[in-house]
Amino acid sequence: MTSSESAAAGVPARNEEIACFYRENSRELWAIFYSMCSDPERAHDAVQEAFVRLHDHQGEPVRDLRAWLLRVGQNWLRDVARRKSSGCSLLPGLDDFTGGAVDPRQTAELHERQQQIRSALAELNEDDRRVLVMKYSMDWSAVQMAAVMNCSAAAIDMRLSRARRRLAEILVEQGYQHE
Amino acid sequence: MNSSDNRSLQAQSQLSDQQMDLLLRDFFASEVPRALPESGFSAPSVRRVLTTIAPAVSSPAASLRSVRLAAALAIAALALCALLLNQDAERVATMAAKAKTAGPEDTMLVSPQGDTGSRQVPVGADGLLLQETDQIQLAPPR
Repeated sequence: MTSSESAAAGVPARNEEIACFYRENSRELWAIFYSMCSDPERAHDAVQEAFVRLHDHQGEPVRDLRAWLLRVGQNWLRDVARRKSSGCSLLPGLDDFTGGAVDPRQTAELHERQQQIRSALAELNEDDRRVLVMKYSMDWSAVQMAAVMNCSAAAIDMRLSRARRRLAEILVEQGYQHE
Repeated sequence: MNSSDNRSLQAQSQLSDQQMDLLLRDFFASEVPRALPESGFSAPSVRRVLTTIAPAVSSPAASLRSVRLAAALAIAALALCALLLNQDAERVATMAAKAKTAGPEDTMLVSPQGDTGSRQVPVGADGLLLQETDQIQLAPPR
């Protein structure tokens, strides 16, 4: 087998490795990017961008995938923030209005509540925001979060409790009406 | 409205820890993109095992094109070298030809070593020595 043939034979294996890593880690990457930008779609785009660049990467072998993807995604988010795109964001579920499947008023109210909580989260410091995002978007336990954040489970529990309390204060200050 | 009423209203509007827990679960249920897969958890001790991804390779068609391009460039370089060598050889041959066809007016009766005064070195094509040229009488004897 020539070198080009052996290299071509390795392409499916490489793609499968990337796909496997995506399945196992994309949600966590999304949580980290979300805690940076407080925008779910932008965080998702950052995840996609990082994996696309990994797929197209032709330089030195990537040795620490997670760190590499985090770096690429964070740099992308910073570039986007610098460009300050002025595109308007559509209400979620707008496409579902066809045929009356969704009540537009309910959708608008849901969107407004989401936006209030999102802006309140953005006012927290990054560590508090990160523990809330990791707990509620990935349903990780305190033990799991402690392993990743290099601290004790008790410290994570304390931080979670403090973050929830602080978020509640911000929401009340902003006049949030809970159901 | 006095301050105690304000404090009472504020206390009522505070969200309890349980309410916050529920609020955040509902919030993130809508916030996380549905396209994202459910996440597994791998401990850092597992993650620290180096996961190496090799660089992407170009397609076989692209490799073939690059080989052809390299071959074409090599051939062009060889042709250029041959042309330069040929021009050089022509110049040398021209100079040699010039030297061969030099006429009598270009010949000086001196030895190849210049006018060294040596009389033993041939100066003519027939081996005529310089000292012999002295004995050539240009005018017939009377």
